[in-house]
Amino acid sequence: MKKNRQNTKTGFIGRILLFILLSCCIENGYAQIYPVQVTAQLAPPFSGYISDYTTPGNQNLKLLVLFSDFTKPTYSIKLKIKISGQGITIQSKNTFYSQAFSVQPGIPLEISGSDLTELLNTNNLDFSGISIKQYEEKKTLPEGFYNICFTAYDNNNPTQIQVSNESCAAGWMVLSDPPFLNMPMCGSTVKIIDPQNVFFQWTPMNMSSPNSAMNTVYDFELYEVKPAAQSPGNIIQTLPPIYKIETPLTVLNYGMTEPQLYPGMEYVWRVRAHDLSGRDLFKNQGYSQICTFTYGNKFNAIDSSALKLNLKGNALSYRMIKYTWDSLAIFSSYELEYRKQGGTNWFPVYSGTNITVVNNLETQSTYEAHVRGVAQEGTGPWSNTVSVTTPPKPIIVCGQSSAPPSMDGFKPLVAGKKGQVWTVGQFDMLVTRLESENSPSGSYSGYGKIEIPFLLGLNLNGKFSNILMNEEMVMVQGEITIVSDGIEVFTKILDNQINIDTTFNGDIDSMYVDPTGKIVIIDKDGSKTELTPDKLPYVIQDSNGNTYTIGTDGKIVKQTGIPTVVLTDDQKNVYKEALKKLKAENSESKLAELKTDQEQKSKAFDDYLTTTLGVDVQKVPATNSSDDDVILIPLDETGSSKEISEESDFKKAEYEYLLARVCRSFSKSTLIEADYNLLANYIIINEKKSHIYIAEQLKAGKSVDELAEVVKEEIRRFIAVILTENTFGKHN
Amino acid sequence: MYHNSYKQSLVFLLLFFSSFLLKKEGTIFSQNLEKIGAKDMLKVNGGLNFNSIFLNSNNPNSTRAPFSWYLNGNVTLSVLDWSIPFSYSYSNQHSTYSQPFNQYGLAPTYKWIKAYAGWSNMSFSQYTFSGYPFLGGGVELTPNNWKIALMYGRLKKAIEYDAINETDRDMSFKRMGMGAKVGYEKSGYGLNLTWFHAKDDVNSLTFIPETTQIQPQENTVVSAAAKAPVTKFFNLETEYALSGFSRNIFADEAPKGSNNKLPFIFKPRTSSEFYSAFKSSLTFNSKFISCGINYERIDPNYKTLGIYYMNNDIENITLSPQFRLFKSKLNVSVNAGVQHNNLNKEKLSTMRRVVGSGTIAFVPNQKWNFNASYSNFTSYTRNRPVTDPFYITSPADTMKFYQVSQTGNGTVSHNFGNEKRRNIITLMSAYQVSRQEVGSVTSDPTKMLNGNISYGLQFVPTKLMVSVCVNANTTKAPGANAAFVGPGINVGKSFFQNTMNCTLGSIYNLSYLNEASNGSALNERLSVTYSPKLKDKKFGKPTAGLSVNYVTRKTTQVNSRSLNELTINANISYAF
Repeated sequence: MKKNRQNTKTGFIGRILLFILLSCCIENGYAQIYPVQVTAQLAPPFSGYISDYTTPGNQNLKLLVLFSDFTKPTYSIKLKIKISGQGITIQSKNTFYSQAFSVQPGIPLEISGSDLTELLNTNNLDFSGISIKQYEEKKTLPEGFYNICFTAYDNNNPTQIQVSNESCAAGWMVLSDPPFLNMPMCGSTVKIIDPQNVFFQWTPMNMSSPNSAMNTVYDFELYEVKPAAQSPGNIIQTLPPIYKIETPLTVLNYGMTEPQLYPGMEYVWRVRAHDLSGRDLFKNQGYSQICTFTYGNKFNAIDSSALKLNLKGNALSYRMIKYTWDSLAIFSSYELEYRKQGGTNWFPVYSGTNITVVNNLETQSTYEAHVRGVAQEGTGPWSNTVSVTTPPKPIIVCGQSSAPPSMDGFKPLVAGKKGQVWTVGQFDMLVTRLESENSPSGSYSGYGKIEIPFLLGLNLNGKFSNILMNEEMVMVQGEITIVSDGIEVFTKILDNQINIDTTFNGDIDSMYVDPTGKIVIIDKDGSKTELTPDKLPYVIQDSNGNTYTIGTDGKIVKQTGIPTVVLTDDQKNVYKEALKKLKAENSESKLAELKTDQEQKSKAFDDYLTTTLGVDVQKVPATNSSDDDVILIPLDETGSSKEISEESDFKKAEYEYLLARVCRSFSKSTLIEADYNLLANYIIINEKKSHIYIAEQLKAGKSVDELAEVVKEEIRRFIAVILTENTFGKHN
Repeated sequence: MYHNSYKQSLVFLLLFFSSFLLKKEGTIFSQNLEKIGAKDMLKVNGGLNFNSIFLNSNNPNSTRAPFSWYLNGNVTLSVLDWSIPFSYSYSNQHSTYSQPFNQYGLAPTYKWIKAYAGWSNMSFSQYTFSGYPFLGGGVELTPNNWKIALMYGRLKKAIEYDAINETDRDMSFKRMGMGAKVGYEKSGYGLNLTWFHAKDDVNSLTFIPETTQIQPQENTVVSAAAKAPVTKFFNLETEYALSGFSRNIFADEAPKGSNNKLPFIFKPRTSSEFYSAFKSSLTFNSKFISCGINYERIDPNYKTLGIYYMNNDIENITLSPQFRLFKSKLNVSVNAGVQHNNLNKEKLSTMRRVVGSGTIAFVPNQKWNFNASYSNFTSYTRNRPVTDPFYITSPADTMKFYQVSQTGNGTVSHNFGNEKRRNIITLMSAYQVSRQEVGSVTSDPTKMLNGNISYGLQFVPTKLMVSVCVNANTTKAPGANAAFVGPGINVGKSFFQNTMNCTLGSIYNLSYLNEASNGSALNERLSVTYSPKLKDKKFGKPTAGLSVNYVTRKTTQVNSRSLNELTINANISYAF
């Protein structure tokens, strides 16, 4: 018996040691002495999943059995279990015992968890404080402090004879949440500081557990997301971190001596909590949810001012502003935004170079613009805002065509593109086709569309070969051949039929193409409509008849249409009569008369030129004159400084003849709807469109004949004005 | 000359006038719509990027390999309406005992059909299948307002038990997943239904050690998401997901009659659990104010096999208003939220977190820029009151945990100068204070403070930029007070019409520990990028970059040694 006591003592000392080691094993020392000493051991980590303890090989739950009655060679015992805590008691059913274990005196027997599988089987346990169903659902004990106690019974006796002390081991059973990451906030962009300095901070979630509250340390891990756009979760699974450190703090100051962070790179980090004493289990092995941040971007760096572009703008014409800025190699492209001063919406324009021309602006309006660089990693800061005012629409005067831009300091337009608008003499030409884009010398051949302002938005198709364009998209040398009657041939070549892809119901104010390729239409009311083109180029027509062509390069070209006017028969009659009168007035005989006069004066002028100036008129090449449908818009004209009488006489005669002839050609007898439409819109009487004027006058009781006379005069004047202003200058 | 020009002009006018009256309507406005020419039939573009990093370091915390590189690229083939992008990435960081990094994939598109083959990235929704690359195939169809996506592939490859190191750290079963998503969206209204299923292949490993905690798992998750514009200004979005998860496929099937929340599509086992996640957000947008209200609830242990670990056992409400005032010169954004855990009331304690952050940005004009932000994270854990008579007194009764962490940032920058010389002065400071209490023990706060002032001068015509800065940085943790103070200089210049950019920088800091000098740190940097402009864009766009970073930390302390770290990062990329 002495020896037994001795054993109890050592057992007790052992238990104290165990207590110190594990700091949570509690044993209630009983005064009564049993022949069998049972010592339960619960080693950390403590799992609330009871089934974990029965996994083969698991050494967390152990039972040491020492039989001290040396009178028996062997002895057979069976066990019962009781788990209690948190108001829950789970214990072996009354009639259930574990399998038998055979013990020999003085030789301790170790029973591990896997030997207790049957004992811990839920079917063999009684539950109180928690239902089997509740337990089965979660397979885990609610968090808290539990005692696991074992008692041994005599195996050979059917009645319940306790042969050992009740030995308990206790543990705080918890499955803690991993830490919660706070700073830098997930998905945020961290400001770059020079030298680098990033504050990291997290909240531990296991602080209610007495096991680990004071013993938790954290592994901080930082990874580069490389290549960009890789899934951060996958990065963590596949690559090693670039930096890893263990810290007892919940903060980390990542400074200049830590591995360098690259501007614009995305980083992913996580923190793993682990209990130094190893007693606590954490979800996800203690790893927090991952969190990403972007280390600034190259463009928010401390010297971001260096990335600020310097924007300049100047008006190229009444409808074009050219913007230039300093280019920086780190940017792959640039984004320029412009708007009419006082406007709310910015219109973006994307450019691959440091120059862009904004088209289709209004005259005498002030536009403001700013630009920034774009790179894969982000965008630079916005530049200064420049304001440019477009000049008034010039009066087109052929005879006074402006001097061709000087060739001095000529810088070629290197990146010519279909869809650009070039300045050709006094006109704008929309380039519709180029034999080759990009010409280092600025020389281009192809086709274009010229908008002649005095024809109110009607376009001429032009052809050019080897014209020289300067950087400002102004033609400095060459000529544009206009194809008018041959337009059908021309259209066949280019498959030129208008193809309206979409009709927009409303008045379009403006539109732009957003970076995703969607067309955003803003109507006069300011409401936006988006549509995705299924092909490019794409043509949209609004209810005003204006067409907008979205080119393959995303540029939008507007073409003013003619509003369709529905006329009454009376209105039509007025036009018909007016033209009849015009025709009668300019009879064949009158034309012949005028022609003779003109020829005489022409000869006189030729003579003058030959005799006085020594110019042989016959030798001056007259390309494509007379019946040909092709003419040249002269660009080599600089205007004369001195008028001579032969010249003015000739001009006058030519004018008279031409006027008569145009008036006669104009006055054909059968008119189609399109003709009426043109007349109704372009003939202006009393500052009103003629069809409105006619309608009013008819209502007021004026006769068709009376009105026809007025309209005839207006048509004549219209033709005269065009001829005067555009062909003869202000001489007449 | 005159003479002839006049004649020509007249002839033109004549013919033009007489002709336009004869023209048929339509051709007047004719456009040039070029058809696709033969040379445009096939287009190939793409890019290639090679990045390598050399590291020579004696810092034990630098865990980067001495030499690592990766190569990634993509090629897109376009034929008429077809677009076939192929992408690949390859790295020498590959290891036998990890999921594969090297990936390749093909994603051809034809009109509204997009197919995936190889390594693919498809995402269905945040709670079901998201950000998880897989090896397999998929298809995305977007006819009209429909959005249909299907996927099937390997989520994880089988990795055997590492018998050499005797670790099951990376061991994994082969995991196959499949999913489908059907969505319909019209004029702001939308509905998305998602189904995702994944299962580990129990036969994919030749040896499963008895002691391992890694068990074959199975998961089925369904989700429904909807969105609707409530009024002109409000938008409502919501998602509910329900996940059925078997922790161990080897476990017996659940007895008949047991609760199966996912009938027909999920086979419950005794190891199965069901969890749900829900979120809903209401956003308001107007010219001056926008605001979002979010509610989220994630069940304890919520997980699926299609997402990486996410925080669970959380219920939170956040409010994030933003104001734009004075023609957007003043922007204020606020983010506030409350959050708590212990949703099932099974834990002894409940952690409450209050998160608040705000940013003010004020840009009165081009020359001044003010920016300030503040954030506060407060967490409080309190134990459940004990009402249970059998409750055993435990040390936890006295336990409570309280943590407050505050972060503030301020920046002021001012720039001035003329077109030739531009100056910028920037003042920045940041602080973070973190204080915690465990039980009745209040630990000293950890304070981190950083200040930085810099002056930059840019010579615009010569593209030269010089900046000098002074920085100070302290970390005050219980028992240790570390500080760095020192100056720095940066010089940058562009060469060859801006195609080459060079930056040279040097920073020298003195370091202090507990107010006593303990050494110094020096950081030298050089970075060069060069992207020559080729004459013809047809030849593509090459870029080369080199960055060298050297850090040395000398210490006068007895027991610590000096740190040296040299990192060379070389990058070559080519886009065509």
